[in-house]
Amino acid sequence: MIGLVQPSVDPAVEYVRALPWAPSLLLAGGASLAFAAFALTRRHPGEAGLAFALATFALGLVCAELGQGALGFATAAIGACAGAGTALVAGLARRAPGAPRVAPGNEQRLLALALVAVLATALAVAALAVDWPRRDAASISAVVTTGALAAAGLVGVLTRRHLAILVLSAVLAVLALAALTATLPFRGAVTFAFFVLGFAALVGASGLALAAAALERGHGPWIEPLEGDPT
Amino acid sequence: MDPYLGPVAGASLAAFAAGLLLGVVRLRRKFRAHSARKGMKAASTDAATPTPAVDAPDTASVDADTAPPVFGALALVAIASGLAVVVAARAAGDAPPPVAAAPGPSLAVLAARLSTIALVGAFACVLALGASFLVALLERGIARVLARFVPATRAVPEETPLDVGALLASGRTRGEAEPFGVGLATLVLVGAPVFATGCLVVAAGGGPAPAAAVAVALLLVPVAYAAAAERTPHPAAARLRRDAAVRQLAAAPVWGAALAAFPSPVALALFPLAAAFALPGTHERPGVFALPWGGDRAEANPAVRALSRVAHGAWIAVVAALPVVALAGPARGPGETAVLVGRALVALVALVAARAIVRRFVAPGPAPVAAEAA
Repeated sequence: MIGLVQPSVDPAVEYVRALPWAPSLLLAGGASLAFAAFALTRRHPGEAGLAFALATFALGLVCAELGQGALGFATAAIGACAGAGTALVAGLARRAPGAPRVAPGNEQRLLALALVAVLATALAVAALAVDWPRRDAASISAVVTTGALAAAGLVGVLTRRHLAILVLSAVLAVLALAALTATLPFRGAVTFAFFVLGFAALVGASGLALAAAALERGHGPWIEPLEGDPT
Repeated sequence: MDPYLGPVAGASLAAFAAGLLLGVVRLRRKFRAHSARKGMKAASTDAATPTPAVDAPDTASVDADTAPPVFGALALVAIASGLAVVVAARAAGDAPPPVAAAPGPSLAVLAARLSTIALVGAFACVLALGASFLVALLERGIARVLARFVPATRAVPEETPLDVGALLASGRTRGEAEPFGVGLATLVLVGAPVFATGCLVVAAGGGPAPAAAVAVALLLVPVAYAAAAERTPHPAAARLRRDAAVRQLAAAPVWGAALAAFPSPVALALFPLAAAFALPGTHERPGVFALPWGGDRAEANPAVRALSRVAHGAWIAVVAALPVVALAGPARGPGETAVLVGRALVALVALVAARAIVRRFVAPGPAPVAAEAA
């Protein structure tokens, strides 16, 4: 009797396995996600900006894999500019010695993760309405990758360690949205994606300007003092 | 993505090698500090205040308190980002809209192509390093020729020397202790020109247009300098690196305009102009628009100094070869490849000679740092 019991594969797992996937795109997306996670958890904006630029570089490769090389180059360029700007703005911290750093507690991080999990579940339920098996491998993989990146950006926004991370997280979420827009199966999606990309550039530049203004006036969460810095 | 896998592999390989070099330097310094502490304990002379490993003072002449204009730099960030979107949108508008792309390559296909990718990556790595040494050699030779025919009437800023001995010595000398972020920035600084070189190689073999890839890789240079400036505990070094980052960012819009106008004569004139300011390297003195003549000249760590010099030379080679490769298109057969390489070499010699002339007759002389410090 026991021998007749067969382990059953969950239908949802079987459904996901049967979908067409593009491993190369998932690889680049995974690298982007890893760099983004590294960037958004850094204490120091310089390292965060550097890792953020590399994350957007990998996201640009995802766009190139989708056949949108120009979109990828613009994505990487915006990421590099935002990364450099972040590190330069953080240099203002040197002018205000002894400013405190406000880091989020673990309960705030847990709350952010829970909120993103609820949002992701709601989006996943809504996504079941799409006939995914009819879509191509590249766009399915891109949707998963950009969704994960947008979620990472949202977590970063909610658990920001300092103003620079807040700006980078917002830019990351919008850049991921732009790449996601390019996968939409309707005419004009790429043009719309460039508008979203323009919005990302605007968010980055204005966010950094606001952060710089706040830091100059001594407001907002700060970065940690450098090693060996008496202040 | 496939055409870029080789350049990405090359950049990773170069970053790994640079990381190994910096790691060896750091381990050596830690080992020496540990040995010194152990020796002091054995001698049990004093109540043991260990010899500090960090000993290089900051450059005395640098005013570290005056930061470069941050809001001006942010304006440059906004202009460069916006220009990138406009140029890319224009380029995408000309291309056919491949939204629903064909299925991506399978893992098996990727695995089969790994050997080719690794080969392209290793070749890009060796080519970038070789080009850097070639640039150093040309700079030295052209400077000597100029010095023979045109006697100097004033102090001329020298290029930072680079040879195999200097590079090897950088791995053996005791370096300045700096945080992890500075090392990470150095790896990106070395990886970026290797990626650009790989893109040129792929383009010469029939790959996609390299100008945009090179421009994006060049944008990683200010990111690396800004990050290194933010992370360093030395105010003077931070000031010099921030100046370099702002100068390189200032070149980004010009570079973007050149990309938009490429391959018109205006673009070909704008390329070297933008590249002159976008090259990696810091000056001895603060100043946003002080052109770098070599790598990080005032850098205390010899390994970082040598690696930044390698990146500087490799970028000069990339800037010289880019218009040649982009205008010529893919080379078919050994004959066309030889012609392409020959043209790239002529462009390189012309660019290095132009830099030598500017350095000799236009650029301000070296700062008397030692005298001021004394």
